[in-house]
Amino acid sequence: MLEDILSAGARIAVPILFAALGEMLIERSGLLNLGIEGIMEVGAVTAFLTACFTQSIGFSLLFAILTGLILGLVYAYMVINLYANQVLTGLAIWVLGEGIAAFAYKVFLSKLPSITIDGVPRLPIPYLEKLPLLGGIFSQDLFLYASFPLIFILWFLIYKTSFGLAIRAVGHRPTAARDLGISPIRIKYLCVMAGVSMMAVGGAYLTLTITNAYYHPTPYIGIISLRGFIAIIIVILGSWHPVRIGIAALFFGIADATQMRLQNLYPAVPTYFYIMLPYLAAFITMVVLRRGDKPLDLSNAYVQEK
Amino acid sequence: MSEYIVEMKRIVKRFPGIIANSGVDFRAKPGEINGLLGENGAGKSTLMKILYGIYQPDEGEIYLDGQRIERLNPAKALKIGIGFVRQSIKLIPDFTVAENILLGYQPPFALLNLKKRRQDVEDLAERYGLNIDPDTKIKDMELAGQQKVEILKALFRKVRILILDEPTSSLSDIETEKMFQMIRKISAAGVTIIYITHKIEKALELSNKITVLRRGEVVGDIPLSECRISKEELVDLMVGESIALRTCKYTTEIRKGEIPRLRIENLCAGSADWGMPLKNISFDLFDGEILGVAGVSGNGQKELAEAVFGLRAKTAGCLYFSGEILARQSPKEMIARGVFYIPADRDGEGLLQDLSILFNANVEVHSCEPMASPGFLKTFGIRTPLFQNSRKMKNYAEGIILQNRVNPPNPLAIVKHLSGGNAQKVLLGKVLACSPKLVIVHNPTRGLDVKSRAFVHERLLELRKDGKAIILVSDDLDEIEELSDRIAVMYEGEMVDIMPCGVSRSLIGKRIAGIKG
Repeated sequence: MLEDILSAGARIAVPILFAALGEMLIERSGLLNLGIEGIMEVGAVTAFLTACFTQSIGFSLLFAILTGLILGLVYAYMVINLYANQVLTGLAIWVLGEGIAAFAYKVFLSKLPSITIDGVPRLPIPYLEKLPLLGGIFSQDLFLYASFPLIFILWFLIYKTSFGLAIRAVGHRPTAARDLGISPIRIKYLCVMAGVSMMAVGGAYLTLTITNAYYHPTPYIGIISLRGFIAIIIVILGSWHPVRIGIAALFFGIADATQMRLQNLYPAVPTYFYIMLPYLAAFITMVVLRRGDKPLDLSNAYVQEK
Repeated sequence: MSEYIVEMKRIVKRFPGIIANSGVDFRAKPGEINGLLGENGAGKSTLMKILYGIYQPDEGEIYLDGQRIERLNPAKALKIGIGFVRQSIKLIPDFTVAENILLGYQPPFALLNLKKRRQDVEDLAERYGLNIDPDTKIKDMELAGQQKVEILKALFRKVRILILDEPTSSLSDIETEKMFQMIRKISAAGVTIIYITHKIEKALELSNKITVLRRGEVVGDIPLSECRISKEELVDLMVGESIALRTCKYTTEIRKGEIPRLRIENLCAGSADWGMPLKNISFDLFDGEILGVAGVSGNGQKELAEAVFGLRAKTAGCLYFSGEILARQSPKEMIARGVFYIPADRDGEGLLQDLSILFNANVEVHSCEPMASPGFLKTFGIRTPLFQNSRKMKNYAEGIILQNRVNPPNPLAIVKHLSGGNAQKVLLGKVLACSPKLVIVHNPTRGLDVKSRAFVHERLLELRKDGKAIILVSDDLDEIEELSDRIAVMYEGEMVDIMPCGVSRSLIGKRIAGIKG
């Protein structure tokens, strides 16, 4: 039971984790991107459609990242070059992404060879999969394994390299960084591009391995069903630190997996109460935990002197 | 090979409505300390921002070692050995000293290698006799320390030319002396120094050569090693006209039986985690009097000003305004009674940076007649002034601009583009236009040049002559001695003494240090 909850929790955590790590990188450069939901949705639908037509996981990922990048660049241009309000732009990107995804799915639905895909195969790691308790986590797919090195790479990039120092500086005080010959605009663009790629991969994970299908039940809430917004909470929960974000995402995944099992155990309680539980847990921890490494210049427009 | 390390020829830089530099020539010889002297808004900082590549000049050429440099930007400037320590600290508060110094130093994907690098930083600090711990966070440091980190940051990059923009403007006398020693040491190591200042004594003390700028033009280029120049001559050059350095003294009048404009009894306010708590402050303030409040910055002067204005809730004590007890005290209430506060933080608290002079001038009065009126609603018996009269507002702002000789004389100019002196004129002018009864001013001339400073003092004295009460809180003891009728001294939230003007400096100094005897 416990091992089961752990492995299910890890699977639930992966898309949120990818998105949260991407958002963390973007916020580190001083931009607040609330459009995660839309970017993930576009990533999810592109990955699904590409997988339907080509049966290639590699192509699915590539196209998911490309479409995510297009949306991300629109966002970046709006907020970096046109100094648009970041909150509003982010929300616009969300709604735009939902619209594009629903539209693309409608257009291709009649031409699809099948409405489900094979998905990413599971690759149990020899020996590790037999571990008590943790075994479940080590009998998953490549995406899930990839999240561990990704966390490490981001941590190393941010805290151990000169580039990471520059990113942090831009998030705190872009004018100071500019005076030292760092281009805040370039760093913001790079962070947005890397960040939205991770978000798109997070969306792709959902269709490629969890659902193996795509659906878009309501105009504004598609298959991502607000995971993008949970990612924003996870970033704050993990206080902009890759490792802590990893823990926070796993914590949320486990809470979600637990509530699903509780639903079966005690069916007398209304379902909505259970669905609320992980959010409640996240909310409480967010209030209790310290704020940590928040970028000081988050969501302020950077205007370059001429 | 050129004789000069830097040559700037016929530099022109225009901003909307202002010409900051009109054909400036500037040159510096290697290893010298070059003073760049001028009033606020004379174009000193702009010129140096051009040399560091923050601004692009509209016209003109820059030569380094005789070679023409084009399309300069900060990265390129640093690479060719130009360092710039700006007036406002440009450090990341959440980073440590070492991290701040390393920022942008290495190629992007180099490993930070903090352990080794912090040792380098420590060694460098030691070489220049600086006591700096590379692991302290900037936000935990004093301003003087932060300034040292800024200089260290430039030295770490082995700059050949170091530009210092008013490095001593917020330092105490002892710290300034230390800073000068450090600058001499750096200069002795072969670094050319360009020292921007508006303080004549400082420039004379430190420099080998002084270049004087006035309204964007060079009016004097004086090698101090070859010719002597007096302070007065320099003032004339800088200002363009003689202004008498004012030495006024006032006798204290004995005013028994008169109702004080402001009476404070046993005022306590604030708690330790929000500034300095005020302890049992009592004093009377009469009309036509300037009460100077002196003390080392951070001993409760700001808190006192805020408590009187109602920005800070009092925990005990009473305030009487014209003999009437102040029961409810909020800035709105105080303004309605004619009490105004001019905060030290001009940019943050005093003025709305992103708005025009017009809006700033009308902040307090925009909803009163005649700036606003009920208009046609009057016929329905509605007296709420709902409609702004933009022409009246503009006239009002123009009046303030004219009276205070604000430059540029354009009500639509955005406040953040004004120089410090002009911004202060707007702030002071809009308060004076409201015919105040009591004005609380805090550091009204900090960072201002001689002329603006004299202007501010003149307006304050006029106000005093009109029979208004003034509380002058200032870190500048000269200013307090020059203007005040009585001098109060704050120490650790207490008012240790109130002395008549004319007492000796040493006595004031003693009180400031907290010695009561």
